[in-house]
Amino acid sequence: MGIDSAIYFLLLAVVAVLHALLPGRRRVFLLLGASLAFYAATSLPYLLLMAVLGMTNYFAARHLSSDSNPKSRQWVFAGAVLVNLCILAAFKYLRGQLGHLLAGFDHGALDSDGVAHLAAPLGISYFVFAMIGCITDAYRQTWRLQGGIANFLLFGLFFPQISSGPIPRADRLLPQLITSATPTAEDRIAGLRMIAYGLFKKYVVANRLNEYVNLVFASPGEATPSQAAVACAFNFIQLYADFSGYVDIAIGSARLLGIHLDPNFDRPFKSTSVTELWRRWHMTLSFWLRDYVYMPMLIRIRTLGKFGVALALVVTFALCGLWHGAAWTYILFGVSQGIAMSMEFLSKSWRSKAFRGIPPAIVAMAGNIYTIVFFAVTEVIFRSSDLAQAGTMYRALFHWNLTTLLAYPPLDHYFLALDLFALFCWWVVRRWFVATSTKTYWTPWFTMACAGLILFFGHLGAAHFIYATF
Amino acid sequence: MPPFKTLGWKNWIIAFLILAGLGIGIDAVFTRYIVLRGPNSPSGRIAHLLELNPNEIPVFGTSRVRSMDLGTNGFNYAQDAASFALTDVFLQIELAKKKTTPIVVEFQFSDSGTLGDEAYLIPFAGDPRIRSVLSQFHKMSWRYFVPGLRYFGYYDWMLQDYLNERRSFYRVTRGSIEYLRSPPFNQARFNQIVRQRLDADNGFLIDDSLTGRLIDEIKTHPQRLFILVATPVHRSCFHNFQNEDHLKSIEARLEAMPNVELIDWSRLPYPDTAFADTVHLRPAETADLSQKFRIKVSQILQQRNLPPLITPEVTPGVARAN
Repeated sequence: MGIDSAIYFLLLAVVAVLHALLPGRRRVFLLLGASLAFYAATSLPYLLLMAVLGMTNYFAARHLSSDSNPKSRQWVFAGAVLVNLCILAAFKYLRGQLGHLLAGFDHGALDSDGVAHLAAPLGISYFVFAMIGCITDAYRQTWRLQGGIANFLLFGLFFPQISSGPIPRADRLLPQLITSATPTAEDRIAGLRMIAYGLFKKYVVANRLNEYVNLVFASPGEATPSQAAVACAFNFIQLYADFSGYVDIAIGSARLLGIHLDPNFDRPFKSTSVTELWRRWHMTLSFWLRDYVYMPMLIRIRTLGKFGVALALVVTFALCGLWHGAAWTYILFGVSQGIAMSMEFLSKSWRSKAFRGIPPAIVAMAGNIYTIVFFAVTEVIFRSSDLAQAGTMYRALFHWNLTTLLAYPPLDHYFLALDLFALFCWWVVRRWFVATSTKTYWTPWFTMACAGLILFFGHLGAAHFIYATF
Repeated sequence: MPPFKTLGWKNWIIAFLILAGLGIGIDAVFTRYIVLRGPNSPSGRIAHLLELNPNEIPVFGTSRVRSMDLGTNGFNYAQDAASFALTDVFLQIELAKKKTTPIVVEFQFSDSGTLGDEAYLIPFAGDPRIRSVLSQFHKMSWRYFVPGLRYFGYYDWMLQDYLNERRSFYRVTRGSIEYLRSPPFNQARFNQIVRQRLDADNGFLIDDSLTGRLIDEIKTHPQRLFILVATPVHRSCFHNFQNEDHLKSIEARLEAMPNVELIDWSRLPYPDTAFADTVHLRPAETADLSQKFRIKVSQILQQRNLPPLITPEVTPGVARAN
């Protein structure tokens, strides 16, 4: 069940109505029941796995929140983190091997070529990161477990966010789940607006651009530099529209139930450096990595000074790449981000001296262009199925000469025109979305306008959200 | 009054009613002027099939030859890249009519395994035969019954098809032949396509149940002459041909039936340069083959004392495409 499916919205509508009718204390059971049903619709065995993992983490968090013996706390913390990481590694990175192991019990799991196909549990990486986050906070004593096991399981499996985040933080989400406050009219209006806007981004922008990007990435050897450049730019925009569209639907759904999830994007196209971009892009993952990987690592290697910071950045972002999947493309993408941020950090004082006489607006604009171009170009590795495909794309992208420069760029006039029209619609809808954010009167019209654009101009294209695969 | 004090239900209802009205209105206009724009559009062909058309010679398969190429009493019901399962449904609809005209069916060696573009079946989702084939390919959806919602995700494709016909962006019409615009012949690229074909499974790959159904339909309708046509394919399609004997036995079985004429042109010796890919001829060769096909069908009808194809007036040279 996708977060953009009719069944999901039916479930959400039923839950929203029952949520309004039930008293506060019962709401947690309603939300937990809906979350379990949502997960069970994907896979019942994996629901059991997630429930067991959630309960293990609950007891670990309870122990860490109440026990003062440092030795036992250390053991429980290490054990809980290890269990989480082992489950993540087994189901995300060693799925092939695990599939073969399970096929020993059920030969039907193997295909005719003898390859095991084992799907990853829905949202396993988001769930595990949320669990490790709260276990670490409990161990550091910056957070104490509140509420019962139902609240804790709901925190991990909350149905709008389980498939692709945002990665929740226990200190912000758990209290809301425990309180289960009645949503205000503002919450409901904001929720509906965000869902409509998220669906618009997914169906009108992301799915449409996906056609062009897929066409070029399918045979990069045949692409002209201008086609490769357009595909590169569209890939960046598509990824943003797809993921932020998902997040808007998730945040909007939660707001309908009176729950405020953490934002995951903050106008990343305005960034003036790669460092700033990662503070605005997939924020819950960036901040998670900062708090639970980068900072502890930096403390350990602080004696290395500036180079320690650079090293910590590269390692953290290599892990960020690895989080997306066990492929060299992801790792290389992560390393490229880490190197860029390290370079920005190491050259900070030099740059402030060099750009002293230049108006700040020009420096910011140059920084913005550099950031967008860098990210769009490195996203090619992220999108490619392997390094060879990425290499072919780069060869196409940088093979500029007079002949290739004049090569006719559009692959398909009609769809390129529709892509550009979709981007224009997005610009208009975005302005309307911001302008009417506090005006009740306009909300129905905005929502219906989005629905109309989706209905008549939406593209089915990519069936799933890109980040649902991570 | 502070913002967000209420949801403003009145506005929501009015906005929804406007959207619903707009949706139904656009659906009606789109169906009439874009989807069913004429008997040559993919949906228009199905609408035409549901009518009796007593003197018509129907053509079923995936061929893109325009109806008029067969003669003014010929009509091509072919759908691009459609499985024989869909052709079979079309045949059932045709055979349910009280008619005696011949039927032309493309005799393919392999099945696409898809419905082609299912969007063109949407206006007919209410017909149980069309609904069953949509369900068989897991393409049936509840929204196909909701005006305003049924074309969601298909508007752009259908509009593109409409524009193509009007402005020839992709499809080119020369004389009576319609074909996809294709780049100039490139031997290196063609060799690559041939290599893929050589690596693929070649043979008579139509499911026995589908062939059996066709034979049953032929048997149960002796009053109709079935002209089965295997169109030319590249010689690489016969490389490591898995079941030559099976194909021969089916062809022999079909030829032995009194109401069947089998035209097997699959091995006509065309050079590489005649092919767009291993299973489609390039436009000029398609045009020539279509003319040849019309002559062949005319001869068959004459031999069997059946009403002839009514030949359209062809302007000399128009049908020859580059």
